[in-house]
Amino acid sequence: MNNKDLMLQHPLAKYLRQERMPHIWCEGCGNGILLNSFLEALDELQLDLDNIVVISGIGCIGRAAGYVNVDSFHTTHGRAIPFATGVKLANPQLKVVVISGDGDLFAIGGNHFIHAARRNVDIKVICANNFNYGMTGGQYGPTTPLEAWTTTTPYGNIEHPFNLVHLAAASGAVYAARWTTLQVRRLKASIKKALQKEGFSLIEVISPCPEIYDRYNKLGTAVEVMKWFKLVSEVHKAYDPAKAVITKNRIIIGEFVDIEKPSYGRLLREMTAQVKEDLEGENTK
Amino acid sequence: MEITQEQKAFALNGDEAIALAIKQSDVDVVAAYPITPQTIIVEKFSEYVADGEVDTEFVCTESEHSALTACLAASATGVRTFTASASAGLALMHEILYVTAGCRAPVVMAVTNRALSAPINIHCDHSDSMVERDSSWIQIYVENSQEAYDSIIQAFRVAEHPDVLLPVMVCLDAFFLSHTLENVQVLPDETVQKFVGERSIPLVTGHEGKNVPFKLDPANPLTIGPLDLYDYYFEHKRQQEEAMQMAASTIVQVHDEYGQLSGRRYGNGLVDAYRLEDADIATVCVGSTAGTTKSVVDTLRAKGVKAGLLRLRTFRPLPIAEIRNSLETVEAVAVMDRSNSFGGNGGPIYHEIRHALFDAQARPHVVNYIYGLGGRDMPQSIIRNIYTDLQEIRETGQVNSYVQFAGVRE
Amino acid sequence: MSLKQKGWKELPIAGVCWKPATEYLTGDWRTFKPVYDLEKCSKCLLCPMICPDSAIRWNKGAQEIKFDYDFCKGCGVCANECPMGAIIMVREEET
Repeated sequence: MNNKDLMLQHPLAKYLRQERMPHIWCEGCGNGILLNSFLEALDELQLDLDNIVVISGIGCIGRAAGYVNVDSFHTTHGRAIPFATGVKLANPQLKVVVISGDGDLFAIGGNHFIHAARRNVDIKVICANNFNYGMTGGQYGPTTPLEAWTTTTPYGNIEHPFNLVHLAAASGAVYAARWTTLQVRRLKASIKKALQKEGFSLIEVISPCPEIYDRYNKLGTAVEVMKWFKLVSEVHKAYDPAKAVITKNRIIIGEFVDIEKPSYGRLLREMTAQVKEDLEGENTK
Repeated sequence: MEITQEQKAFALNGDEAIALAIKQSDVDVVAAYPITPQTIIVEKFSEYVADGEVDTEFVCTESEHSALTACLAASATGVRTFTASASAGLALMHEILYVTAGCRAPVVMAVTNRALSAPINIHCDHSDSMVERDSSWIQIYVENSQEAYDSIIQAFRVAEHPDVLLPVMVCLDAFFLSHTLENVQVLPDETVQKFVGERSIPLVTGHEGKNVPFKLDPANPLTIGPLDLYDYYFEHKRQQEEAMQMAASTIVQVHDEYGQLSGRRYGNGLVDAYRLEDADIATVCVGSTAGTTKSVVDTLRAKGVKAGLLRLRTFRPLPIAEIRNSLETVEAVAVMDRSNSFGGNGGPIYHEIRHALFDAQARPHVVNYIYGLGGRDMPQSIIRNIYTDLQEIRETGQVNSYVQFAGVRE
Repeated sequence: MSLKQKGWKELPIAGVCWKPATEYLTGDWRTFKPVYDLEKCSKCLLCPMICPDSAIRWNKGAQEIKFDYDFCKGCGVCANECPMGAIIMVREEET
């Protein structure tokens, strides 16, 4: 049996563009795990693939849009969320998923994130957070922890990082969860939940970057990073996101926000219908 | 006789050469955002900062738009600033490019020329900086890493000259230069520091009616960047055009002064003519392709073909007299553009060369080759074919196609 | 604005402000004008603090407040807030 036959037998093969495989992510990179969990979620929900759109920004995980066998778009740096907003508003039937990285979503695209969350646009954002700009060589970014080493902070980072779940909660997201790539089943369940929920959702996935960030920070191989995840992860239910700051000794994981609120699209359609009705009423008078 | 300073050769790629030039130029503020293939410049420089080798404030902002804004603001306080970008990053800076020039902030930026999306491509072409040719930034395109190093040092002197006060882009080809090791002759730190000197600040009339230094300083308050409507905006834009004209002579003067220190010259600083004196046919280009072309010219010359090359080192301001003087005696000219002006019937350099030659005594045939988009290689064979086409045009006096795409698959 | 406007050769570069904004008298915008009754005034000095345009000054020598009509836009906040009713707003053309 050659490799190709093996590939065809992969249970998730139909969700992938197989001519694009194997993926280009580094040995032990968490992006593969994240993508797997997303595809497992799709498989379990048995969603119609014609109604799913995956949008990515720039960064290592940006490749995900090209790998999934659904309609997808790889946007310019930081613009995955506004692109997704356009898709969702143009065709409200679609399930629109943004899969992108911390640098893309929270630095150059940070403004889009807070406003899409505030408006409650019905899109699902899955963020691979590896604490640095991996693809461009490991510069510090908006999630790099204090004191962490990167190529642009050779003596340690002096900028305070974002706490992404807190940012999502404060901005108005209806669902915010954080997992590491170790908790694959919980991550999958979380993605399934978000896909079935109306409104803006963030799932932050703490992901190893063994070749760059983890190496600079002497966190060891991917296996050792996973061991570290196991050691420091604490699962909580409805923990105060403001207090869920990531440190070397503690990563609070779980669902932080899970509320109901009408989405922007729904309110827009309801208002248009109402205005139309009122106008028609006036015309018949 | 030129006084040449003692220099040391280092194996540096273009990005590292630029980082070193920045280190030696006493830059006060560097703000940048990572984008391939510019990243090495900023990474290397952040090491200098962290190791205490430079006294520079360094900040990684959250986007290119913010990076240039931070540089503009720092520059407005009278200090020396630098940033670097490419492609989508430069495009995102677009708004602030105009603001920087309009505020007459002498920011220096390295642009590692990279293709624009979509589709996404990280390799070399000149689309990113060519679209910014009207932004009132001085544009210098370099042929190799040595010139990148030399040009950055010269750029501060040109930008900060009180008659100029315009920002400068030093453009180098992605990967071909940014990531390729080369022997680079490096001047001693003190020599560069002395050459670049302190930024001189001219006086302007402020809102209290007094002449005050042109910088934001609480001791002498000044408002930079206010609303400026139809009553004065036009005059301010006219001033920018004048500054561009002053930039041309300043570039020549600074380039010459630097030549005396280093022994290195690139034509007169505006154009770099290669075996053009008696040429019958010639190509025109910017950037690293000039190196390959020179080698083709040598081969052709050895066979008795009178071929030449005109490399534009400075694209803004456009050295119109130099272009005309260099090319008006040539019979057929091929302009090689590493970017396209879609629907504009040729690339930007082609348009401007034809514009410069319109008033020439004897107008040569001028044709255009769009090449190398998205990092497509430009081998000697394609350049040889271009010269063959030129020979045919010269012999027959006929041009079959004015704009062609060299190296694209049909 | 002066009659003879500066040409590009005389104008300071970069659009820096070369004359004070105080040449532009925002008092032109006013429809209602504050008028002051010294008899009623308790000299509490609330009005100079609350004026959004800093157009009310305390004249220490004369022990009274003074409106700067060059810059008072006539918003009426002072009249509304005066605890003694010492300021009233009247139509500009009626003064």
